[in-house]
Amino acid sequence: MHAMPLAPSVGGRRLAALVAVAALVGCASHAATPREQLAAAFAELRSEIPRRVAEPAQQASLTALADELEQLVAEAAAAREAAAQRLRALHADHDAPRAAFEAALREIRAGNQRRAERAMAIRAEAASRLDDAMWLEVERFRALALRAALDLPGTGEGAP
Amino acid sequence: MIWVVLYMLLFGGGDASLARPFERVRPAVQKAVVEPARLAKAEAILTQVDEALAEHRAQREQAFAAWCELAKRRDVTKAELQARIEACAAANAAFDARLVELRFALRDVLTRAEWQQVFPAPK
Repeated sequence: MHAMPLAPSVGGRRLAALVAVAALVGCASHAATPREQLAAAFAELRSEIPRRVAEPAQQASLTALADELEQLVAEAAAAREAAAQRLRALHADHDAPRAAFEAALREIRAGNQRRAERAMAIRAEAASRLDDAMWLEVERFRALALRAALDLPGTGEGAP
Repeated sequence: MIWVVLYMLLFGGGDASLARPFERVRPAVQKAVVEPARLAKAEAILTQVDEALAEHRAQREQAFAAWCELAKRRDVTKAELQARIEACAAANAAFDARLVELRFALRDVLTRAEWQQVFPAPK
């Protein structure tokens, strides 16, 4: 597999922007909705690919990877919110049996595990396509992503 | 990194959802439960919830840091990632079980009317 031919500095910034926006999934204090921001970030990432990669097959595979990643992030965010709503409704039900909680949690965990498997597969594919410089460039933005991710609502950091 | 964000979406929030109804609920319990003995029991349970949540947050911070160290390595193996994910899932499952236990303990202390007052059904 060839190293991703995006220029590291530009590509890194693109990916960093993607990460920063993706980390804001769930935040509703901006003009654009999180979903719109996420879509915009991925659209920008996709538009960058043909500008940086000449080979059509390579363009197609990178675009497909971006598509898959976008879908997975969106699915994970939606599943997370659905899980929160389901558990909140169960909790409010005075008569909800313990088995209902256990069943709900089992299903939530199973979904998370499936998405984790997909995330690992995408990550492995990305690792095979990014060169060392690009990988390190993306890593520079780890602290930003970390902070943003921790500020996600509903992660137990005081958000209802 | 997108992997860190995904980690948070998959393992950082869904399980903590069980804790959400308990947040900032103490004043509502104090208002709803007028009988001192039952109120004392309810408050003791809420204190246990607070402790469980604080412990879980501390564990999660550590797990998150460990995850970040792992995820930034380009050469990390699937087995290493899988082991980390399983450890996080196990910690979350233990936290869930504790909160379910405390939820039912609190339910046994509050009357149905008090429960509905403190935890109104979501709209």
